[in-house]
Amino acid sequence: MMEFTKKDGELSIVLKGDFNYPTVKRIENILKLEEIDRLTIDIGSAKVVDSEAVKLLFRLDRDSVQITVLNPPYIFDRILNILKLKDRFKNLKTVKEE
Amino acid sequence: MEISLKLPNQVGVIQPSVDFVYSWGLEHGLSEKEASELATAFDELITDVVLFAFGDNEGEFSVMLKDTLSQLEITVHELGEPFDPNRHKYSVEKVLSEGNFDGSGFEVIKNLVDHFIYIYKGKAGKEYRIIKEIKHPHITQLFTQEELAVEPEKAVSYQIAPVSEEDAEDIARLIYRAYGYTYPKEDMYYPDRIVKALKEGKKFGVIVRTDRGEAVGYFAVIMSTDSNIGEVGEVVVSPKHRGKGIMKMMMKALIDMAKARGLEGLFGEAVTVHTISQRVNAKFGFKSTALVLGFFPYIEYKGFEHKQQRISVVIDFLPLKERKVVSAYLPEDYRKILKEIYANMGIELKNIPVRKELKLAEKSNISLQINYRFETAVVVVRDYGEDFESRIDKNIQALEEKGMKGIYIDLPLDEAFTKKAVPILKKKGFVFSGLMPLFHQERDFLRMQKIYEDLDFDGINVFSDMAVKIKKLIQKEMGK
Repeated sequence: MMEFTKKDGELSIVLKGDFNYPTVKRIENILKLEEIDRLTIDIGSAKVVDSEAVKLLFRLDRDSVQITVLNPPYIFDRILNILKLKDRFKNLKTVKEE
Repeated sequence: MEISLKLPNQVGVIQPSVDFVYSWGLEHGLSEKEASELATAFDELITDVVLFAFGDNEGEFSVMLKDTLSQLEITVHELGEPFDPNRHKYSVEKVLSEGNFDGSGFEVIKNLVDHFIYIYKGKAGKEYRIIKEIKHPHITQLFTQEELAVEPEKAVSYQIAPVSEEDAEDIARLIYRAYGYTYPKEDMYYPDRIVKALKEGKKFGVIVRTDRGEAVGYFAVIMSTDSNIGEVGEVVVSPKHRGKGIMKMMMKALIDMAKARGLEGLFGEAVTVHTISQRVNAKFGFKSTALVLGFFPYIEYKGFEHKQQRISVVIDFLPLKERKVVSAYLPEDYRKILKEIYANMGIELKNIPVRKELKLAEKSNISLQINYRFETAVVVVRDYGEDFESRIDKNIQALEEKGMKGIYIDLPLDEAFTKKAVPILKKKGFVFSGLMPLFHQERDFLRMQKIYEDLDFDGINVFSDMAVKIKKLIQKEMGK
Protein backbone atom coordinates (compact mmCIF):
# COMPACT_ATOMS: atom_id res chain seq x y z
CA MET A 1 0.00 0.00 0.00
CA MET A 2 3.01 2.33 -0.10
CA GLU A 3 6.37 2.82 -1.76
CA PHE A 4 9.27 4.56 -0.09
CA THR A 5 12.86 5.62 -0.74
CA LYS A 6 15.41 7.08 1.61
CA LYS A 7 18.28 9.29 0.48
CA ASP A 8 20.46 11.79 2.35
CA GLY A 9 18.16 12.09 5.36
CA GLU A 10 15.05 12.43 3.24
CA LEU A 11 12.32 9.85 3.34
CA SER A 12 10.01 9.90 0.31
CA ILE A 13 6.77 8.00 0.49
CA VAL A 14 4.08 7.47 -2.09
CA LEU A 15 0.91 6.13 -0.52
CA LYS A 16 -1.19 3.82 -2.65
CA GLY A 17 -4.10 4.01 -0.26
CA ASP A 18 -5.30 5.70 2.89
CA PHE A 19 -3.31 7.66 5.43
CA ASN A 20 -4.57 6.08 8.64
CA TYR A 21 -3.45 3.90 11.52
CA PRO A 22 -2.24 0.86 9.50
CA THR A 23 -0.15 3.18 7.28
CA VAL A 24 1.10 5.20 10.24
CA LYS A 25 2.34 1.99 11.87
CA ARG A 26 4.30 1.10 8.72
CA ILE A 27 5.85 4.55 8.56
CA GLU A 28 6.73 4.42 12.24
CA ASN A 29 8.47 1.10 11.67
CA ILE A 30 10.62 2.73 8.97
CA LEU A 31 11.36 5.68 11.26
CA LYS A 32 12.56 3.31 13.98
CA LEU A 33 15.38 2.27 11.70
CA GLU A 34 16.11 5.54 9.91
CA GLU A 35 16.90 9.01 11.20
CA ILE A 36 15.40 11.61 8.90
CA ASP A 37 15.30 15.39 8.68
CA ARG A 38 12.94 15.61 5.69
CA LEU A 39 9.76 13.74 4.81
CA THR A 40 7.99 13.96 1.48
CA ILE A 41 4.72 12.07 1.41
CA ASP A 42 2.40 11.84 -1.56
CA ILE A 43 -1.13 11.20 -0.28
CA GLY A 44 -2.96 11.87 -3.54
CA SER A 45 -4.50 8.37 -3.50
CA ALA A 46 -5.89 8.61 0.02
CA LYS A 47 -9.64 8.82 0.45
CA VAL A 48 -9.20 8.68 4.22
CA VAL A 49 -6.81 10.74 6.33
CA ASP A 50 -7.41 10.34 10.04
CA SER A 51 -6.26 11.78 13.35
CA GLU A 52 -3.55 9.11 13.65
CA ALA A 53 -1.97 10.52 10.49
CA VAL A 54 -2.19 14.05 11.85
CA LYS A 55 -0.61 12.90 15.11
CA LEU A 56 2.36 11.44 13.23
CA LEU A 57 2.88 14.57 11.15
CA PHE A 58 2.55 16.79 14.21
CA ARG A 59 5.13 14.77 16.13
CA LEU A 60 7.61 14.90 13.23
CA ASP A 61 6.92 18.61 12.86
CA ARG A 62 7.76 19.16 16.52
CA ASP A 63 10.94 17.11 15.96
CA SER A 64 11.89 19.70 13.32
CA VAL A 65 11.47 17.33 10.38
CA GLN A 66 10.76 19.33 7.20
CA ILE A 67 7.54 17.85 5.83
CA THR A 68 6.16 18.13 2.33
CA VAL A 69 2.70 16.72 1.78
CA LEU A 70 2.12 16.14 -1.92
CA ASN A 71 -1.34 16.19 -3.48
CA PRO A 72 -3.35 16.37 -0.28
CA PRO A 73 -6.96 15.29 -0.87
CA TYR A 74 -9.92 17.31 0.38
CA ILE A 75 -10.14 15.29 3.59
CA PHE A 76 -6.63 16.30 4.70
CA ASP A 77 -7.54 19.98 4.92
CA ARG A 78 -10.87 19.11 6.47
CA ILE A 79 -9.27 17.15 9.31
CA LEU A 80 -6.71 19.87 10.02
CA ASN A 81 -9.53 22.42 10.18
CA ILE A 82 -11.60 20.24 12.51
CA LEU A 83 -8.62 19.79 14.84
CA LYS A 84 -7.79 23.52 14.57
CA LEU A 85 -4.26 22.67 13.48
CA LYS A 86 -4.24 24.13 9.98
CA ASP A 87 -1.78 26.91 10.76
CA ARG A 88 -0.07 25.28 13.70
CA PHE A 89 2.59 23.30 11.86
CA LYS A 90 5.99 24.98 11.77
CA ASN A 91 7.69 22.82 9.17
CA LEU A 92 4.92 21.51 6.94
CA LYS A 93 4.10 22.59 3.42
CA THR A 94 1.61 21.16 0.99
CA VAL A 95 2.17 20.93 -2.76
CA LYS A 96 -0.42 20.11 -5.39
CA GLU A 97 1.25 18.58 -8.44
CA GLU A 98 -0.35 19.20 -11.80
CA MET B 1 -31.12 -3.01 3.32
CA GLU B 2 -29.02 -3.93 6.33
CA ILE B 3 -25.53 -5.38 6.20
CA SER B 4 -24.02 -6.93 9.31
CA LEU B 5 -20.34 -7.66 9.85
CA LYS B 6 -18.61 -9.36 12.76
CA LEU B 7 -14.97 -8.39 13.04
CA PRO B 8 -12.09 -9.34 15.32
CA ASN B 9 -10.17 -6.54 17.08
CA GLN B 10 -7.20 -6.80 14.74
CA VAL B 11 -5.52 -3.97 12.88
CA GLY B 12 -5.86 -5.99 9.67
CA VAL B 13 -9.63 -5.47 9.57
CA ILE B 14 -9.43 -1.66 9.53
CA GLN B 15 -8.48 -1.05 5.91
CA PRO B 16 -10.82 -3.53 4.17
CA SER B 17 -13.80 -2.42 6.23
CA VAL B 18 -13.02 1.27 5.62
CA ASP B 19 -12.77 0.52 1.88
CA PHE B 20 -16.12 -1.24 2.05
CA VAL B 21 -17.81 1.67 3.83
CA TYR B 22 -16.43 4.12 1.27
CA SER B 23 -17.80 2.08 -1.67
CA TRP B 24 -21.09 1.56 0.17
CA GLY B 25 -21.41 5.32 0.66
CA LEU B 26 -20.78 6.01 -3.02
CA GLU B 27 -23.20 3.31 -4.08
CA HIS B 28 -25.95 4.86 -1.94
CA GLY B 29 -25.72 8.35 -3.37
CA LEU B 30 -22.93 10.12 -1.46
CA SER B 31 -20.50 12.28 -3.43
CA GLU B 32 -16.81 11.32 -3.31
CA LYS B 33 -16.18 14.00 -0.67
CA GLU B 34 -19.10 12.84 1.48
CA ALA B 35 -18.10 9.17 1.12
CA SER B 36 -14.60 10.15 2.15
CA GLU B 37 -16.00 11.92 5.24
CA LEU B 38 -18.13 8.92 6.18
CA ALA B 39 -15.23 6.48 5.64
CA THR B 40 -12.91 8.67 7.73
CA ALA B 41 -15.44 8.89 10.58
CA PHE B 42 -15.86 5.12 10.45
CA ASP B 43 -12.07 4.65 10.33
CA GLU B 44 -11.70 6.75 13.49
CA LEU B 45 -14.38 4.75 15.25
CA ILE B 46 -13.15 1.26 14.47
CA THR B 47 -9.50 2.20 14.97
CA ASP B 48 -10.47 3.24 18.47
CA VAL B 49 -12.40 -0.01 19.03
CA VAL B 50 -9.57 -2.16 17.68
CA LEU B 51 -6.87 -0.40 19.70
CA PHE B 52 -8.59 0.33 22.99
CA ALA B 53 -11.95 -1.41 23.53
CA PHE B 54 -10.57 -4.74 24.68
CA GLY B 55 -7.26 -3.77 26.28
CA ASP B 56 -4.73 -6.49 25.45
CA ASN B 57 -7.40 -9.15 25.04
CA GLU B 58 -8.85 -10.59 21.88
CA GLY B 59 -12.39 -9.56 21.16
CA GLU B 60 -15.04 -9.18 18.50
CA PHE B 61 -17.20 -6.26 17.52
CA SER B 62 -20.11 -5.93 15.16
CA VAL B 63 -20.83 -3.37 12.49
CA MET B 64 -24.26 -2.82 11.00
CA LEU B 65 -24.73 -0.70 7.90
CA LYS B 66 -28.24 0.47 7.18
CA ASP B 67 -29.44 2.67 4.35
CA THR B 68 -32.72 4.54 4.28
CA LEU B 69 -33.94 6.84 1.52
CA SER B 70 -32.33 9.89 3.07
CA GLN B 71 -29.49 8.69 5.24
CA LEU B 72 -26.82 6.10 5.89
CA GLU B 73 -26.43 4.79 9.41
CA ILE B 74 -23.53 2.75 10.76
CA THR B 75 -23.84 1.12 14.16
CA VAL B 76 -20.75 -0.28 15.86
CA HIS B 77 -21.39 -2.48 18.87
CA GLU B 78 -18.78 -3.96 21.17
CA LEU B 79 -18.56 -5.65 24.55
CA GLY B 80 -15.22 -4.21 25.58
CA GLU B 81 -14.14 -2.24 28.60
CA PRO B 82 -16.31 0.62 29.91
CA PHE B 83 -15.56 3.90 28.22
CA ASP B 84 -17.27 7.25 27.94
CA PRO B 85 -16.30 9.43 24.96
CA ASN B 86 -17.82 12.45 26.68
CA ARG B 87 -14.97 12.34 29.18
CA HIS B 88 -12.36 12.63 26.46
CA LYS B 89 -12.73 16.17 25.16
CA TYR B 90 -10.38 17.28 22.44
CA SER B 91 -8.38 20.42 23.19
CA VAL B 92 -6.04 22.07 20.68
CA GLU B 93 -4.26 23.75 23.59
CA LYS B 94 -3.39 20.31 24.99
CA VAL B 95 -2.07 19.30 21.58
CA LEU B 96 0.12 22.39 21.33
CA SER B 97 1.42 22.32 24.89
CA GLU B 98 1.68 18.57 25.57
CA GLY B 99 1.26 16.87 22.21
CA ASN B 100 -1.83 15.27 23.77
CA PHE B 101 -4.39 14.30 21.09
CA ASP B 102 -6.88 12.76 23.51
CA GLY B 103 -10.41 12.97 22.10
CA SER B 104 -9.23 13.90 18.60
CA GLY B 105 -10.85 10.85 16.99
CA PHE B 106 -14.29 11.65 18.42
CA GLU B 107 -13.87 15.32 17.51
CA VAL B 108 -13.26 14.25 13.91
CA ILE B 109 -16.24 11.88 13.90
CA LYS B 110 -18.64 14.51 15.30
CA ASN B 111 -17.65 16.96 12.59
CA LEU B 112 -17.68 14.60 9.62
CA VAL B 113 -21.14 13.12 10.07
CA ASP B 114 -24.58 14.60 10.63
CA HIS B 115 -25.25 12.71 13.84
CA PHE B 116 -23.07 10.79 16.27
CA ILE B 117 -24.64 8.99 19.19
CA TYR B 118 -23.10 6.90 21.94
CA ILE B 119 -25.10 4.52 24.11
CA TYR B 120 -23.62 2.71 27.08
CA LYS B 121 -25.68 -0.45 27.56
CA GLY B 122 -24.11 -1.83 30.71
CA LYS B 123 -23.52 -5.58 30.41
CA ALA B 124 -24.81 -5.45 26.84
CA GLY B 125 -21.81 -3.37 25.82
CA LYS B 126 -21.44 -0.08 24.04
CA GLU B 127 -23.02 1.17 20.87
CA TYR B 128 -21.89 3.96 18.59
CA ARG B 129 -24.00 5.26 15.73
CA ILE B 130 -22.83 7.53 12.95
CA ILE B 131 -25.28 8.95 10.44
CA LYS B 132 -24.67 10.71 7.16
CA GLU B 133 -27.50 12.39 5.29
CA ILE B 134 -27.75 11.81 1.53
CA LYS B 135 -28.14 15.07 -0.36
CA HIS B 136 -30.46 14.44 -3.31
CA PRO B 137 -31.68 17.29 -5.52
CA HIS B 138 -34.95 18.78 -4.25
CA ILE B 139 -37.80 19.14 -6.74
CA THR B 140 -37.41 22.95 -6.56
CA GLN B 141 -33.84 22.54 -7.84
CA LEU B 142 -35.06 20.59 -10.85
CA PHE B 143 -37.93 22.86 -11.96
CA THR B 144 -38.71 26.57 -11.86
CA GLN B 145 -41.51 27.90 -9.64
CA GLU B 146 -43.55 28.63 -12.81
CA GLU B 147 -43.20 25.05 -13.99
CA LEU B 148 -44.11 23.71 -10.57
CA ALA B 149 -47.19 25.93 -10.29
CA VAL B 150 -48.90 24.57 -13.41
CA GLU B 151 -52.14 22.96 -12.26
CA PRO B 152 -53.80 20.49 -14.66
CA GLU B 153 -57.22 21.69 -15.81
CA LYS B 154 -60.42 19.70 -15.28
CA ALA B 155 -60.44 16.32 -16.97
CA VAL B 156 -63.00 14.28 -18.88
CA SER B 157 -61.79 11.03 -17.34
CA TYR B 158 -59.05 9.60 -15.13
CA GLN B 159 -56.82 6.55 -15.46
CA ILE B 160 -55.29 4.73 -12.51
CA ALA B 161 -52.10 2.66 -12.81
CA PRO B 162 -49.49 1.10 -10.54
CA VAL B 163 -46.75 3.61 -9.88
CA SER B 164 -43.36 3.10 -11.55
CA GLU B 165 -39.92 4.72 -11.37
CA GLU B 166 -40.77 6.92 -14.38
CA ASP B 167 -43.49 8.59 -12.30
CA ALA B 168 -41.05 9.91 -9.65
CA GLU B 169 -40.71 13.47 -10.96
CA ASP B 170 -44.43 13.85 -11.51
CA ILE B 171 -45.12 12.66 -7.96
CA ALA B 172 -42.65 15.12 -6.41
CA ARG B 173 -44.17 17.96 -8.48
CA LEU B 174 -47.65 16.93 -7.43
CA ILE B 175 -46.72 16.91 -3.76
CA TYR B 176 -45.09 20.32 -4.05
CA ARG B 177 -48.04 21.79 -5.94
CA ALA B 178 -50.56 20.50 -3.41
CA TYR B 179 -48.68 21.04 -0.17
CA GLY B 180 -45.89 23.54 -0.79
CA TYR B 181 -43.19 22.76 1.76
CA THR B 182 -45.61 21.42 4.38
CA TYR B 183 -45.72 17.72 3.51
CA PRO B 184 -44.15 15.97 6.50
CA LYS B 185 -42.57 13.10 4.52
CA GLU B 186 -39.63 15.01 3.14
CA ASP B 187 -38.47 12.18 0.89
CA MET B 188 -41.40 12.96 -1.38
CA TYR B 189 -39.74 16.16 -2.60
CA TYR B 190 -36.76 14.20 -3.95
CA PRO B 191 -37.42 12.23 -7.16
CA ASP B 192 -34.21 10.21 -6.61
CA ARG B 193 -35.50 8.97 -3.27
CA ILE B 194 -38.85 8.01 -4.79
CA VAL B 195 -37.05 6.05 -7.52
CA LYS B 196 -34.84 4.34 -4.93
CA ALA B 197 -37.80 3.36 -2.74
CA LEU B 198 -39.67 1.88 -5.69
CA LYS B 199 -36.62 0.10 -7.05
CA GLU B 200 -35.88 -1.49 -3.69
CA GLY B 201 -39.51 -2.50 -3.11
CA LYS B 202 -39.80 -0.23 -0.08
CA LYS B 203 -43.15 0.98 -1.32
CA PHE B 204 -45.84 0.33 -3.89
CA GLY B 205 -48.68 2.50 -4.99
CA VAL B 206 -50.90 3.96 -7.66
CA ILE B 207 -50.89 7.11 -9.73
CA VAL B 208 -53.93 8.75 -11.29
CA ARG B 209 -53.60 10.72 -14.53
CA THR B 210 -56.04 12.80 -16.53
CA ASP B 211 -57.02 11.81 -20.06
CA ARG B 212 -54.23 14.23 -21.11
CA GLY B 213 -51.70 12.24 -19.06
CA GLU B 214 -51.19 14.81 -16.30
CA ALA B 215 -50.58 13.35 -12.84
CA VAL B 216 -53.30 14.44 -10.40
CA GLY B 217 -53.31 11.74 -7.71
CA TYR B 218 -50.85 9.49 -5.96
CA PHE B 219 -51.21 7.09 -3.06
CA ALA B 220 -48.61 4.62 -1.79
CA VAL B 221 -48.04 1.99 0.86
CA ILE B 222 -44.67 2.09 2.59
CA MET B 223 -43.58 -1.38 3.60
CA SER B 224 -42.61 -1.86 7.23
CA THR B 225 -39.00 -3.00 7.54
CA ASP B 226 -39.85 -4.96 10.65
CA SER B 227 -43.14 -6.71 9.93
CA ASN B 228 -45.39 -7.86 7.11
CA ILE B 229 -47.56 -4.74 7.26
CA GLY B 230 -47.54 -1.46 5.37
CA GLU B 231 -48.35 2.17 6.01
CA VAL B 232 -50.80 4.01 3.80
CA GLY B 233 -48.36 6.78 4.14
CA GLU B 234 -48.16 8.97 1.06
CA VAL B 235 -51.20 10.52 -0.49
CA VAL B 236 -51.92 13.53 -2.61
CA VAL B 237 -54.71 14.71 -4.87
CA SER B 238 -54.19 17.82 -6.98
CA PRO B 239 -56.36 20.67 -5.55
CA LYS B 240 -58.53 21.19 -8.67
CA HIS B 241 -59.28 17.48 -8.89
CA ARG B 242 -60.51 16.89 -5.35
CA GLY B 243 -64.07 15.68 -4.79
CA LYS B 244 -64.02 13.55 -7.95
CA GLY B 245 -63.64 10.18 -6.22
CA ILE B 246 -59.92 9.93 -6.95
CA MET B 247 -59.03 9.26 -3.31
CA LYS B 248 -61.62 6.48 -3.05
CA MET B 249 -60.43 4.91 -6.30
CA MET B 250 -56.80 4.93 -5.09
CA MET B 251 -57.52 3.58 -1.60
CA LYS B 252 -59.57 0.67 -3.01
CA ALA B 253 -56.77 -0.16 -5.43
CA LEU B 254 -54.15 -0.02 -2.67
CA ILE B 255 -56.09 -2.32 -0.35
CA ASP B 256 -56.46 -4.84 -3.21
CA MET B 257 -52.74 -4.60 -3.99
CA ALA B 258 -51.84 -5.07 -0.33
CA LYS B 259 -54.06 -8.15 -0.09
CA ALA B 260 -52.58 -9.58 -3.28
CA ARG B 261 -49.10 -9.13 -1.80
CA GLY B 262 -50.12 -11.06 1.32
CA LEU B 263 -49.76 -8.19 3.79
CA GLU B 264 -51.27 -8.86 7.21
CA GLY B 265 -52.46 -5.31 7.73
CA LEU B 266 -52.32 -1.67 6.72
CA PHE B 267 -51.99 1.28 9.01
CA GLY B 268 -52.20 5.02 8.73
CA GLU B 269 -50.53 7.73 10.80
CA ALA B 270 -53.27 10.30 10.48
CA VAL B 271 -52.39 13.82 11.60
CA THR B 272 -54.55 15.45 14.28
CA VAL B 273 -54.26 18.99 12.92
CA HIS B 274 -57.53 18.12 11.16
CA THR B 275 -59.64 14.96 11.01
CA ILE B 276 -59.88 14.55 7.22
CA SER B 277 -57.37 11.68 6.96
CA GLN B 278 -58.89 9.99 10.01
CA ARG B 279 -62.35 10.18 8.42
CA VAL B 280 -61.06 8.69 5.16
CA ASN B 281 -59.38 5.87 7.07
CA ALA B 282 -62.57 5.18 9.04
CA LYS B 283 -64.59 5.07 5.82
CA PHE B 284 -62.39 2.25 4.55
CA GLY B 285 -62.64 0.18 7.73
CA PHE B 286 -59.48 1.30 9.52
CA LYS B 287 -59.81 1.28 13.34
CA SER B 288 -58.02 3.66 15.68
CA THR B 289 -55.58 1.88 18.00
CA ALA B 290 -53.23 4.56 19.36
CA LEU B 291 -52.57 8.25 19.71
CA VAL B 292 -48.88 9.08 19.31
CA LEU B 293 -48.15 12.48 20.79
CA GLY B 294 -45.77 14.96 19.17
CA PHE B 295 -44.64 12.47 16.55
CA PHE B 296 -43.10 15.05 14.25
CA PRO B 297 -42.16 18.73 14.45
CA TYR B 298 -44.60 21.56 13.85
CA ILE B 299 -45.31 22.45 10.25
CA GLU B 300 -48.03 24.68 8.96
CA TYR B 301 -50.83 22.85 7.17
CA LYS B 302 -52.15 24.89 4.26
CA GLY B 303 -55.80 25.87 4.78
CA PHE B 304 -56.00 24.87 8.45
CA GLU B 305 -55.72 27.05 11.48
CA HIS B 306 -53.90 25.05 14.09
CA LYS B 307 -51.73 25.31 17.18
CA GLN B 308 -48.02 25.85 16.76
CA GLN B 309 -46.94 22.65 18.43
CA ARG B 310 -45.48 19.30 17.47
CA ILE B 311 -47.89 17.19 15.43
CA SER B 312 -49.56 14.17 17.00
CA VAL B 313 -50.93 11.26 14.97
CA VAL B 314 -53.67 8.68 15.37
CA ILE B 315 -52.70 5.15 14.41
CA ASP B 316 -55.52 3.66 12.34
CA PHE B 317 -55.22 -0.04 11.53
CA LEU B 318 -56.89 -2.22 8.94
CA PRO B 319 -56.39 -5.97 9.47
CA LEU B 320 -56.10 -7.82 6.17
CA LYS B 321 -56.07 -11.30 7.67
CA GLU B 322 -58.70 -12.38 10.11
CA ARG B 323 -57.78 -12.85 13.77
CA LYS B 324 -60.72 -13.89 15.93
CA VAL B 325 -59.02 -14.29 19.29
CA VAL B 326 -55.75 -12.94 20.67
CA SER B 327 -54.27 -14.01 23.99
CA ALA B 328 -51.99 -11.49 25.64
CA TYR B 329 -50.41 -10.47 28.92
CA LEU B 330 -52.44 -7.40 29.75
CA PRO B 331 -51.05 -4.82 32.16
CA GLU B 332 -53.65 -4.12 34.83
CA ASP B 333 -53.88 -0.38 34.17
CA TYR B 334 -54.61 -0.83 30.47
CA ARG B 335 -56.62 -4.07 30.44
CA LYS B 336 -59.94 -2.33 29.83
CA ILE B 337 -58.82 0.02 27.05
CA LEU B 338 -56.85 -2.71 25.26
CA LYS B 339 -59.90 -5.01 25.30
CA GLU B 340 -61.94 -2.20 23.77
CA ILE B 341 -59.34 -1.49 21.08
CA TYR B 342 -59.19 -5.16 20.08
CA ALA B 343 -62.98 -5.52 20.21
CA ASN B 344 -63.26 -2.51 17.91
CA MET B 345 -61.17 -4.47 15.38
CA GLY B 346 -63.46 -7.48 15.81
CA ILE B 347 -60.95 -9.41 17.90
CA GLU B 348 -61.68 -11.04 21.24
CA LEU B 349 -58.84 -10.40 23.67
CA LYS B 350 -58.03 -12.93 26.37
CA ASN B 351 -55.83 -12.04 29.30
CA ILE B 352 -53.11 -14.57 30.18
CA PRO B 353 -52.66 -14.61 33.95
CA VAL B 354 -49.13 -14.82 35.38
CA ARG B 355 -49.05 -17.35 38.19
CA LYS B 356 -45.37 -18.21 38.57
CA GLU B 357 -42.49 -15.92 39.37
CA LEU B 358 -41.03 -14.72 36.10
CA LYS B 359 -37.62 -15.98 35.09
CA LEU B 360 -35.78 -13.63 32.76
CA ALA B 361 -32.76 -14.11 30.56
CA GLU B 362 -29.63 -12.21 31.52
CA LYS B 363 -29.90 -9.71 28.69
CA SER B 364 -32.87 -8.00 27.08
CA ASN B 365 -33.29 -7.83 23.34
CA ILE B 366 -33.98 -4.16 22.73
CA SER B 367 -33.59 -2.23 19.50
CA LEU B 368 -33.65 1.48 18.92
CA GLN B 369 -34.97 3.33 15.90
CA ILE B 370 -34.08 7.02 15.86
CA ASN B 371 -35.64 9.55 13.52
CA TYR B 372 -33.10 12.37 13.69
CA ARG B 373 -35.14 14.76 11.57
CA PHE B 374 -38.28 14.28 13.65
CA GLU B 375 -36.21 14.20 16.87
CA THR B 376 -38.05 11.10 18.02
CA ALA B 377 -37.03 7.58 18.91
CA VAL B 378 -38.85 4.27 19.15
CA VAL B 379 -37.41 1.73 21.57
CA VAL B 380 -38.61 -1.76 20.69
CA VAL B 381 -38.45 -4.34 23.45
CA ARG B 382 -38.44 -7.72 21.76
CA ASP B 383 -37.54 -9.85 24.79
CA TYR B 384 -37.06 -8.97 28.42
CA GLY B 385 -33.93 -9.68 30.42
CA GLU B 386 -32.77 -8.89 33.94
CA ASP B 387 -31.14 -5.73 32.61
CA PHE B 388 -34.43 -4.35 31.23
CA GLU B 389 -34.73 -1.33 33.50
CA SER B 390 -31.07 -0.32 33.35
CA ARG B 391 -31.06 -0.68 29.55
CA ILE B 392 -34.16 1.50 29.30
CA ASP B 393 -32.58 4.08 31.63
CA LYS B 394 -29.43 4.18 29.51
CA ASN B 395 -31.40 4.52 26.30
CA ILE B 396 -33.49 7.34 27.77
CA GLN B 397 -30.39 9.12 29.06
CA ALA B 398 -28.63 8.94 25.68
CA LEU B 399 -31.76 10.08 23.83
CA GLU B 400 -32.40 12.95 26.24
CA GLU B 401 -28.79 14.08 25.87
CA LYS B 402 -29.33 14.06 22.12
CA GLY B 403 -32.32 16.39 22.59
CA MET B 404 -35.06 14.00 21.44
CA LYS B 405 -38.54 15.49 21.75
CA GLY B 406 -40.45 12.23 21.94
CA ILE B 407 -39.52 8.74 23.15
CA TYR B 408 -41.87 5.83 22.41
CA ILE B 409 -41.39 2.39 23.93
CA ASP B 410 -43.07 -0.65 22.35
CA LEU B 411 -43.68 -3.53 24.76
CA PRO B 412 -44.59 -7.02 23.44
CA LEU B 413 -48.00 -8.15 24.58
CA ASP B 414 -47.00 -11.81 24.23
CA GLU B 415 -44.35 -11.45 26.97
CA ALA B 416 -45.46 -11.80 30.59
CA PHE B 417 -43.04 -9.17 31.89
CA THR B 418 -44.96 -6.46 30.03
CA LYS B 419 -47.36 -6.51 33.00
CA LYS B 420 -44.46 -5.43 35.20
CA ALA B 421 -42.80 -3.16 32.66
CA VAL B 422 -45.78 -0.81 32.51
CA PRO B 423 -45.60 0.39 36.15
CA ILE B 424 -41.81 0.70 35.81
CA LEU B 425 -42.20 2.99 32.78
CA LYS B 426 -45.02 4.96 34.37
CA LYS B 427 -42.68 5.84 37.25
CA LYS B 428 -40.28 7.23 34.67
CA GLY B 429 -42.96 9.55 33.28
CA PHE B 430 -44.26 7.41 30.42
CA VAL B 431 -47.96 7.32 29.60
CA PHE B 432 -50.22 5.20 27.44
CA SER B 433 -50.12 5.63 23.69
CA GLY B 434 -52.07 2.60 22.48
CA LEU B 435 -51.87 -0.65 20.61
CA MET B 436 -49.44 -1.13 17.71
CA PRO B 437 -50.96 -4.21 16.05
CA LEU B 438 -48.51 -6.60 14.33
CA PHE B 439 -45.94 -3.80 14.35
CA HIS B 440 -42.73 -5.74 14.89
CA GLN B 441 -42.18 -9.27 13.57
CA GLU B 442 -45.96 -9.65 13.24
CA ARG B 443 -46.40 -9.34 17.03
CA ASP B 444 -48.73 -6.96 18.89
CA PHE B 445 -47.12 -4.25 21.01
CA LEU B 446 -48.31 -1.84 23.66
CA ARG B 447 -46.82 1.60 23.06
CA MET B 448 -45.89 3.91 25.95
CA GLN B 449 -44.73 7.46 25.32
CA LYS B 450 -42.94 10.39 26.90
CA ILE B 451 -43.03 13.84 25.35
CA TYR B 452 -40.52 16.58 26.08
CA GLU B 453 -42.52 19.54 24.80
CA ASP B 454 -45.74 20.90 26.20
CA LEU B 455 -48.80 20.00 24.13
CA ASP B 456 -52.20 21.63 24.15
CA PHE B 457 -54.74 18.81 23.83
CA ASP B 458 -57.31 21.21 22.37
CA GLY B 459 -55.10 21.26 19.27
CA ILE B 460 -55.19 17.47 18.96
CA ASN B 461 -58.29 16.63 16.92
CA VAL B 462 -59.43 13.04 16.85
CA PHE B 463 -62.36 11.59 14.96
CA SER B 464 -63.31 8.03 15.91
CA ASP B 465 -64.96 7.12 19.21
CA MET B 466 -62.01 4.91 20.03
CA ALA B 467 -59.50 7.67 19.38
CA VAL B 468 -61.56 9.93 21.67
CA LYS B 469 -61.37 7.29 24.45
CA ILE B 470 -57.61 6.88 23.98
CA LYS B 471 -57.06 10.62 24.04
CA LYS B 472 -59.11 10.96 27.27
CA LEU B 473 -57.07 8.24 28.97
CA ILE B 474 -53.79 9.88 27.96
CA GLN B 475 -55.01 13.29 29.14
CA LYS B 476 -55.99 11.78 32.46
CA GLU B 477 -52.60 10.11 32.88
CA MET B 478 -50.83 13.34 32.04
CA GLY B 479 -53.08 15.35 34.34
CA LYS B 480 -54.15 17.57 31.46
